[in-house]
Amino acid sequence: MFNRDRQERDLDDELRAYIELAVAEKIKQGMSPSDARRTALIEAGGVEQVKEEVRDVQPGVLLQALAQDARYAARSLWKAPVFTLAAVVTLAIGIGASTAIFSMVNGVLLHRLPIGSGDRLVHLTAPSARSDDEGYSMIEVADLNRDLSTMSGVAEYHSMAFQLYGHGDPLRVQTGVVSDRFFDMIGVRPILGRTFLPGEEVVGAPPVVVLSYRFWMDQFHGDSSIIGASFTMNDRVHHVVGVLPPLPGYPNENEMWMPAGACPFRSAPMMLNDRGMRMVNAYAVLKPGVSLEQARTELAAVNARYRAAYPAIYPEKDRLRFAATSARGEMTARAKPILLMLLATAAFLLVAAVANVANLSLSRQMRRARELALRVALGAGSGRLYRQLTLEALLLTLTGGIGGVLLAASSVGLLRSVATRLTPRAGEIQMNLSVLAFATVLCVVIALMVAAAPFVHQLGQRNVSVALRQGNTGAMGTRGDLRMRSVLVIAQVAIAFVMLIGAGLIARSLIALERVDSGVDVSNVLTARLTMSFTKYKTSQSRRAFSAGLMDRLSALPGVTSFGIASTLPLGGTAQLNEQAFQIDGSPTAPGARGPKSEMTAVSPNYFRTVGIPVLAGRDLATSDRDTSNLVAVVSRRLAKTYWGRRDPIGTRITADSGRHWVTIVGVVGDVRQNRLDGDVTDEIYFPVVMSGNNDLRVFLRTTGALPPIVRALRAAVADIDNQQPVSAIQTLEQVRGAQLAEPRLTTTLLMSFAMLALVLTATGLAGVIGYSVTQRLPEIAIRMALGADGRRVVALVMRDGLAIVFVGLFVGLGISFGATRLIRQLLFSVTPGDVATYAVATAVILGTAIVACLVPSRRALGADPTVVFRG
Amino acid sequence: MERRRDGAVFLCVAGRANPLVLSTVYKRAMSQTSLLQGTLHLLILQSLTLGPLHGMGVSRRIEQVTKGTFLVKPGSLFPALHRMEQAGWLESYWGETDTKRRAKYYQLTRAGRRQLKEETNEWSRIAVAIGLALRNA
Repeated sequence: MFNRDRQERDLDDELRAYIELAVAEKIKQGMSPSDARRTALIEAGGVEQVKEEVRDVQPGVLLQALAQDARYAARSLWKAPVFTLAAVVTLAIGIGASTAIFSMVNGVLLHRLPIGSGDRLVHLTAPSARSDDEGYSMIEVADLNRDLSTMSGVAEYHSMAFQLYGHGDPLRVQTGVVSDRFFDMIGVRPILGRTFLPGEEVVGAPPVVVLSYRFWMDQFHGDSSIIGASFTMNDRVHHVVGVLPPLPGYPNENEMWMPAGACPFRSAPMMLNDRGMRMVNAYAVLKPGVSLEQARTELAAVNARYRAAYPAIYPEKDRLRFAATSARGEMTARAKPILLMLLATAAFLLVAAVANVANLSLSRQMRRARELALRVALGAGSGRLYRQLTLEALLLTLTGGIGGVLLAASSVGLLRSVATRLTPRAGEIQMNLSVLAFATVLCVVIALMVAAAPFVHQLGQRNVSVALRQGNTGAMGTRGDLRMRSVLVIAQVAIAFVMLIGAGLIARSLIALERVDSGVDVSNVLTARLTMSFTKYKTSQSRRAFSAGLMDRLSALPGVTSFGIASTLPLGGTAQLNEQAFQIDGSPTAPGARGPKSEMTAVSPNYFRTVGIPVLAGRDLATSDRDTSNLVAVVSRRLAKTYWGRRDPIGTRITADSGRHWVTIVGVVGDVRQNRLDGDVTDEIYFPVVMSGNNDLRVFLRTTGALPPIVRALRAAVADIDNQQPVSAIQTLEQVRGAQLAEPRLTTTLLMSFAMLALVLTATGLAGVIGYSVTQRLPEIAIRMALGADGRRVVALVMRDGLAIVFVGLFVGLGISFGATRLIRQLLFSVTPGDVATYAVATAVILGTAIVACLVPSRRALGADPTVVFRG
Repeated sequence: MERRRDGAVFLCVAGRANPLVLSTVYKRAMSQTSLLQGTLHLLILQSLTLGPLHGMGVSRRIEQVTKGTFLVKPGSLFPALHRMEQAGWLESYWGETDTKRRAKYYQLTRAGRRQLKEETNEWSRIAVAIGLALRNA
């Protein structure tokens, strides 16, 4: 400060000397001393202005001035608490919503995959005439790993549930089974220990496992002494050799990983030695610089070579191809349209918020016009003024931005739970530096825009004297101000309308989804999963004995009115689709034609009654249906209609193994959406579970009364058969259905709240502008009223102004909506983008809000008293 | 630049005639990089080659050597002097005028002389080029 004072004094002296010299000169030329001084001062062009110019070039002056301006800005904002609070809250909402959604987009869509191979990881698929992906056989994976020159490695993958003993209760552990090169290939380093070594995938190698980060945290609380621990799985002792970092749950969410050779199922000689046994998925990493297209071309060439070499394995009619898709694309495909829609919505909300703040700040600067003009007259540079206003706006947006970032940070959990159902990358959503940078840039850009608003419409039509003279009239502005502010509100109305339409369409989709008849009655049904150990239940006889024993014990459970067993979970979402071809006795499939196909599901008697699937014709399966010479099955309604037409399926016979076994249809039951609520019903052939020997069973209990005792009784019943058998996924069918609705419900809630916020912003913006116009027209209105205009006409006058703006906004919004809703077509469920009801409701909501928003200023207009207006 | 009725040209580098904010901001941003700025620097450097001068002295010297074509107003002169002092081309000290007044004197530094040489060369090059262009037009 001392330095600054001296600088000021020096500058003062220097200029005084200059003026004195000029005066002396003029006196010498013959002027009177007073004239000389006056002329010298005029010629100098204002000592204060010159000083200001010099100060601008002095070192450190910018910082000093900035600090001074910032203090001034803070003070002047503090003195206008209503404006400041309104602006900060509005900005916090706008910036918060945008930042939150951006953090999702950043984590899921923008951010690099958290693995070394990044975007070069590809999923090799084998599409055929029968299916989208037949998978690969172990021999093919080994050959591809050797033959593909565009890939730096090909590894096999499949996921299975195993029983883990040696850590408390027996656990059902979802296990990823991979080639030993898998982790090195995709570029994952363990956070503890190691991953797999070359050779560990050989059948018979000492069994090792690595744990997923989540499993390690959940089960072992991050205990690093876990390395070297041993568990029994599949009758063998497995040693823990490493722990993985947090990774996307891709290809599946796995709790544990083991090298391929340790999986007893996959390592059966039949699997290992048959080129046609496609049971694993193949993943590969592109060599750097290789495009997906090049890889696909090479895969097609290799495929052609294999077909020529092994014609029996690749029959022409299968049309089996080798294909590749980007793993990143698979991870984000479902999330992308929803996230982009949310981002667009948040951007809309932000624009509406900024328009509001710009509008608020505009009326504030109008009121300050006189102060600003005075400061110009006193020598404030015009740049300094703009800087001043920008600083003020920056202070506002940064405060709002901090609020917004806090809002966004507190919603990370919610955002992740929205994303979890959409993408395995949900865990990567976080508040990190790039999100903060985004928020900061947003703040600065908004500040520059808000600060510029008061200048834009004045450009070229104002100067100090005009401003000084006009300043007298306080909030009065020109018609130009009003036009500018009207444009902002028109934009807001249009945005609110588009957001209402979008949210409305998504909400209607949700309502339709909630109303979908899944085909099962989900109320009061408890379900659990029993996955039997491969090594313990090797034979299908032992598995049948297990399910028979289970049936006996379930019948004795208290609080259970009905029970059943099935091999799949209705609405499970992840139900394995295993369609099988079959033939109907008496209607052979023409050669080359596609024969009938169906899901094959094993169920127990009373399963249909328990989960509420109606038996439409014939009978349910019965306990007595265990005669291998008289096999029976039940078909679903659509299947019966498709393949039997008007004939009665009951009594007819089908075969799924080319006539070795014939199965008699004894009943027709209702259709079920086995996979998803928004999916189609599935064609089903239900056969007795005692005949199936399935190792993965679902138990269904229709209950009365409290659940905990029933769960305990169920666990006891299972332990009674096999005390090492884990009982997992205990939940109600209501929860299973709810899980499918969770993401659409959250998305709809988000969109609806964004739309409501935009509506509130629009209403306040409209009320502000109409209020402004009423203030301007108060004298006119007062005269009208003095001349006898009644209240209704005055209100109509105000309403007309407001509604004119709203109609223009609606019109613009309508145009945008027609285009924008086409883009979200794929997110809609049983609603068309042009849904009339949604448009009607949105229009009504906007108009209703507009009328309410206009009522407030109308009341003020009605209170216009000529005596007060003209004297004031 | 504005032209007076008597034909003198004011160097009005950082004009503040119009308080209209944005347009002035732009005008100012432009003028700081304009040719005029460089010309003013060149004239000031040149005026100090014969010895130290105070602000008024610089102004009068420029008027003299350009035969009254350029009148430098204090609003341009002092910011330029201060800016050049920061650039290290000039140094200043407080001295006394012939009439025994205290005044701030400016003199060229070594960097200032170098700068003058560079700018003079640059200017002659431009002058020749423009002369050529005009002759050939």
